[in-house]
Amino acid sequence: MKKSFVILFVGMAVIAAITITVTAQSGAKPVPRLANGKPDFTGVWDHPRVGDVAADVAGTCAGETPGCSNKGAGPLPFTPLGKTENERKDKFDYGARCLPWGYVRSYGTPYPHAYVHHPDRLAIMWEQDTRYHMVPTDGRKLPANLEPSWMGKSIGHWEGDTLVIETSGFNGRTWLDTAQHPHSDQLRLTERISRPEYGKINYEISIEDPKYYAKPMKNSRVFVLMAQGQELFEYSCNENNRCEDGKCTPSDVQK
Amino acid sequence: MIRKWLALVVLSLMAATAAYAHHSFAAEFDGTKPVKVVGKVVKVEWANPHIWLYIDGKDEISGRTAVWGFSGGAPATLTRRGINRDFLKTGDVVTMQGFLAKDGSPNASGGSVTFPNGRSVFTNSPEDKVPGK
Repeated sequence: MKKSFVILFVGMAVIAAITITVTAQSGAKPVPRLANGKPDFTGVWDHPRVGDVAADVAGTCAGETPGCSNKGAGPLPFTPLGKTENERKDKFDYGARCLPWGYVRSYGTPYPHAYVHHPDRLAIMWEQDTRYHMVPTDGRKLPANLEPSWMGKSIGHWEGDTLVIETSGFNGRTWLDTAQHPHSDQLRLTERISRPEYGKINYEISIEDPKYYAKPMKNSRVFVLMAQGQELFEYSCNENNRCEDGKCTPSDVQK
Repeated sequence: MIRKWLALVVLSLMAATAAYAHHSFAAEFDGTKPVKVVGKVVKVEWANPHIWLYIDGKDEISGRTAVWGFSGGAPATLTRRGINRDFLKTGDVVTMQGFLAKDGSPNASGGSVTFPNGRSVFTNSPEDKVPGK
C-alpha cells in the first residue's frame, strides 16, 4: 500500500515536471482572465475576410496576418421567398452609400476588429466604418419587443469558458456578406466564442432566418491576435466616397 | 483565336472575383474594361474609404488622354502593408492599371503602380487583382 503510494507520488511529480518544462520551452503565454475568472478576449484581432458565408477561407486574415480560416456553410438552404430575394436584379450595395454593413457582414470585412472585455460586457469594435457593438453579459434578458436596427441587439452568457452571444432585432436591410446573400428581419444569431490559446480565438456563428432559409447555417472561424503595437485605424466612409450609385464625382484636378 | 478565348475567360474570372471583392466594385466599375495609363501624378487623395491617385496621361488600351482617377485600398490596408501617404509624389511618372468606371468618366479601380525603374506597388485590397499582375 505504502509502496504504491510512493510510486503514484513520484509518477505525478514526473508528469508535473514534464508539463512545466514543455510550457516553459514553448513560451506559451497563458490566456488572460477577467476578474470573474472567465477568459479575457481584449485585444486587436484579425479575422478572415468572409465575402461569402457559404465558402471556406484559409490562410491570410483580412489585415494580412497569417492563420485565419472559415469553414463555410456550404450551399445555402433558401426558402422560396429567400430564393426570390436572393435573385432580385435590382440589388444595390448599401455599403457603397456608407450605410452600416450589418452584424454578420461586419465580421467578414476586409479590416480587423478589436474586443474590450469587462466582466459585465464585451465591446466589439470593427475598423470597417469605425463601428461598435455592445454585448451585456450581466444576466439581463433581451427585451420582448425590440426596435429593429442595423446591428441588432445582443446579450451574452458563459457556458464554461465559451461566451455565447444571442442577437436579434434586425431591420433586414443588410446582407450576410458581400456576395449579397440576404436576410430578413427574422434573423437570429447565436455565436460561440472561446480563446483556447493566447493568440487564437475560435468563433462559431449559427445563422437562423426561417423566413429566408429553411434551416440554420453555421460558420466556424479562427481569429488571430495581431502583433503587439497593432491598433485599429480610423475609417470614415463618408470622407471621400467619390463613386456612388454608378456615378463618380470628379476631383478638382479633373474639372 | 485560342489566345483571345483564353484572355476572355481570364477577364471574365477577374470580373467575377472583383464583383465579390469590393463593397462597391460591381456597382461602380466594369471588370471587363481594363485601362493602363502612363503619365504624371498630379494629386494623391489619402482618405477613406479608398485612396485616389490622379494621373495625367494616356490610356494605352483606348488611346484616351485625361486626368485619370484611380481608386485604391483604404489608408489602413496600405499603412499595414508599409505603404504611406508619401509613396507617390506629384510629378512622379508611373504606369497605373485598373478597370474603367461604369459611368464612362476617366476613373478606374486601380491595382498596381509601376515606377520607371520597374518597381511595382499594389495599392488595392489583396482581392482586387489586376490582369497581368
